[in-house]
Amino acid sequence: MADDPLFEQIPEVMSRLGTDLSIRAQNSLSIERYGNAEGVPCYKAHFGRDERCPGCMVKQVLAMGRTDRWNMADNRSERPTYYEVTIAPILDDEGRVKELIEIIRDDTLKFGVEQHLIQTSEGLEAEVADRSRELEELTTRTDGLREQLSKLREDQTAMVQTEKMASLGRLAAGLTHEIHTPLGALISNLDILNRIISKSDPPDETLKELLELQQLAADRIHKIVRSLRNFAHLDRAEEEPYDLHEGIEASLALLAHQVKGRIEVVREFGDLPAVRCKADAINQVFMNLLQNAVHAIEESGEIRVTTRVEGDQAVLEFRDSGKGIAKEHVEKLFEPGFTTKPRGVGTGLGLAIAYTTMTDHKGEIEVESAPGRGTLFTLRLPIAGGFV
Amino acid sequence: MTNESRRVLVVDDEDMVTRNLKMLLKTETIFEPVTFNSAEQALEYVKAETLDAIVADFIMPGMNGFDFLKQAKEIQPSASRLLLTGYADKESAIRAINEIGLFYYLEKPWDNDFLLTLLDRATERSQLLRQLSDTTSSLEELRGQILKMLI
Repeated sequence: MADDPLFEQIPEVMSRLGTDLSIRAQNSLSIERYGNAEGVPCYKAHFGRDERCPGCMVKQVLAMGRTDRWNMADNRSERPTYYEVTIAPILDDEGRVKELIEIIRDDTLKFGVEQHLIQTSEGLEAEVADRSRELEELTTRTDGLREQLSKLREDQTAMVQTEKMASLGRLAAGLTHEIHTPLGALISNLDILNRIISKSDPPDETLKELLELQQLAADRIHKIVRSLRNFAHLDRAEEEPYDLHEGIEASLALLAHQVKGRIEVVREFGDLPAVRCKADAINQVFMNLLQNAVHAIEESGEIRVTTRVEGDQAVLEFRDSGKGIAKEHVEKLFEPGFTTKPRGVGTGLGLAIAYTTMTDHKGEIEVESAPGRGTLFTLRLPIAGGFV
Repeated sequence: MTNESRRVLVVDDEDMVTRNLKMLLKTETIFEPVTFNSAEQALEYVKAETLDAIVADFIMPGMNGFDFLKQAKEIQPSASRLLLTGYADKESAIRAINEIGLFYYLEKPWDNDFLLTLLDRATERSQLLRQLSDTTSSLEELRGQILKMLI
């Protein structure tokens, strides 16, 4: 309508409708889309319907005299199109609706985008939920794996330790065999020399002195080789029921001269049944622990031996009030060759032997110590035995 | 009779052991030692000469002490057999004592006094065994003669 520039220039598809919904005028955009439709009802012209569209709000516009806007879908084609329809009333001087302005805006694109966004966001939400679940599962699994890993690490350390001990055992076995022969000859030769010299008159004092020194050296070698052999358990005794208290007493008796007047020995013996074990080997463990305790007490102090039954195990505690062990030494305590004692006093095998003996018996040995606070060794032995 | 010199064979692949034992045995004039460093050679000697005691090392290249003493037992059952070994494991000791009728299983390093006492007893036993077997056979002979006379 050339007489209404506004009507023509607003870039929307616009029509003027009578209150009966027949088209009175169209702007050029409307004509472009729907063709000349003057006199045709809007529902017919725009949507090809024979009656009013479902959801049409014109009634309310007429009744209220107010603009209204709503959405409509055109389902005639396979891909539906969406429209936003605006109906604005034009009032006469008395305030009655005389005409309607209709604006039809194709919203298919916007609607599609919205739909797509809704669908996408729903999908995203589902995905987020899925991911959260997966993450939770992963966390649980990671925790499990971490636990397994630390268990594996522990096992590995134990295996390395066991393997180390086993190969040292083999080494010791081979070594002692190799040493026994020359050592046998050495000791025997010294003895023959002694016999000859003691028969000579007058005896040569220098030779006698030298021989004595040689004898001391040979005895030292013999002692070390004996420890090595015990470490390798070359002399296998049978496993049999044994009174552990008897073994502890025997070891204490052997140490009596070092203990007397200096160290108080406290016995807290529980009611222990006979324990199946290799008595010789176990006695050596007692001897090593008690000897260490005696060495740890510099002047005077106390050694406390406690025994009890815990489940199917005999538990023995050897506690001394001695100088204790430095933290960095505690870790190496059961390693063969480790000693803090002066040369000639310790072979560095005592606790390694104790460790091997206890694991061979399917038992355990533990140490608790701090400098200045004494040392506690705890032994656990299965009462029923189980030597491997 | 038991005061005649007692012949002891020692076999050990280690020269230092055989030389040492030869010297040790010579300090006691009663023993007459003979030593070898190979079990094969020692076995030839066992076949040829009467012995009172045989001392063998356990682990030797070639024939070991166990097999050597087993064969020596077949040849001269009366000679006492001793295993002197640096390889101390009780299973092989028990096997040796049971299978070769060992007189003693001795571990290196050994105590000379103890070894000499052992050899004194071992050789005395061998000589007594031989005397017994001689007496038994002469008694058998006597019995045969008496029987012949009676028949």
